[in-house]
Amino acid sequence: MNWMFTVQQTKIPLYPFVIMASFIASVIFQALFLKRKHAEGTDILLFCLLSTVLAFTGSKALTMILALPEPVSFLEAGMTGYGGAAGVLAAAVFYEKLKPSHGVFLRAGVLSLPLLYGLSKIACFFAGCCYGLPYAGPGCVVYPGLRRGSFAPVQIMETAAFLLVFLLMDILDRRGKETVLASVMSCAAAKFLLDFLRYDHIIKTVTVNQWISLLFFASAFVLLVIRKTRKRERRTDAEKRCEE
Amino acid sequence: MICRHCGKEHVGEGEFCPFCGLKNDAAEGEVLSTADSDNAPPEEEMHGDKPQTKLLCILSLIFGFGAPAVVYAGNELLDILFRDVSFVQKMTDFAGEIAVLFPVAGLVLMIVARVKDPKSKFGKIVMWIYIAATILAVILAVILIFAFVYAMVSCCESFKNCPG
Repeated sequence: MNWMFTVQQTKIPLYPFVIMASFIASVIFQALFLKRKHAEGTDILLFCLLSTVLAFTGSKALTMILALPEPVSFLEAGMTGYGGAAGVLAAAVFYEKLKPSHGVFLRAGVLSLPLLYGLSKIACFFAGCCYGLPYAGPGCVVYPGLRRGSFAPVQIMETAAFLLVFLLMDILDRRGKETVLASVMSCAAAKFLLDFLRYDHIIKTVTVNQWISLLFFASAFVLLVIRKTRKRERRTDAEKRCEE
Repeated sequence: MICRHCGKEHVGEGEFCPFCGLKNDAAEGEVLSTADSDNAPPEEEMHGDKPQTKLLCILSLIFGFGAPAVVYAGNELLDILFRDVSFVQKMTDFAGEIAVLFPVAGLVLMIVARVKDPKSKFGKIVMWIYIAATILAVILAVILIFAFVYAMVSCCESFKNCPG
């Protein structure tokens, strides 16, 4: 399938509109999250604008870098998930440094990532890109006029997995749990595992996406261990002071 | 109660925060105690825009709108003057790609100006210019998608409006 909607006998591809919808959903979540944490209106506006622009630019920039040495223009370049994630993370870290808020902007950015990525995979499902391994069982997808054969619905599986991660992390965050590193690790693990169902794995053993996923997972794990150790040390110091 | 150290909300008025273990001296209902409010400048410095803010806003406008316009105009001129020179073609292509980053840099400068000096009028104006430009860009993108698809379909089905 290469889904389009029809306006007066003209077929319009759904891909760009679903991508826009995923960005809008991500911005709405970030705005509501920051409002819940009592951030100022101007900060909410500026952070949402910055994260959206950097997510868009980052997603295209990574495609251009990975296409080297063959040059691809910014307009022609497709969008990559990790490029968008890098953009949102850069915006979150930058805003956090600019206006320290005990990690609120960082959490807003990181928690919105699985929502953004999960919904954008619906666009890929409609467009027929990022498709899965050849598969003819229940739920297989065909792309008439675009690709021969039937394929695993990996885009929909990614949507389901990442929306699940998003909901879980949001629930944990509302209960006051640490979610930034947990969210990064969950997303990286989900992306690493689901990538095995993509068509690229016919040729490659480990794809670039999977290497990046491993890097993110390992970095988040190390930071988590360091944070837990420091928290334990601070609690011990506080208890000692209390006794004194 | 919100802890000033870790920023987490907790019930109870104990001396120590149950999350980070540090002494609880948070103000009721306050969440984001920013550096700006803690180190607020004296009243006399807040009249009018600060010179630093003005510079950031001017640079933001230059990077955001001036520089891309100059680069694209320059590229068009060089393409006309040196049409068959491959080195110039490559240079203009490269400059065109780099020019995409200028508005991003301009946006970042505007955000720094707004956050560092929230009361600046110039900063507010530049912020609303960027917001309006972003909205216009999205609307233009939607229009171009429809226009492109319509032109493609028109060319394929009935050869209307096709050049040459």
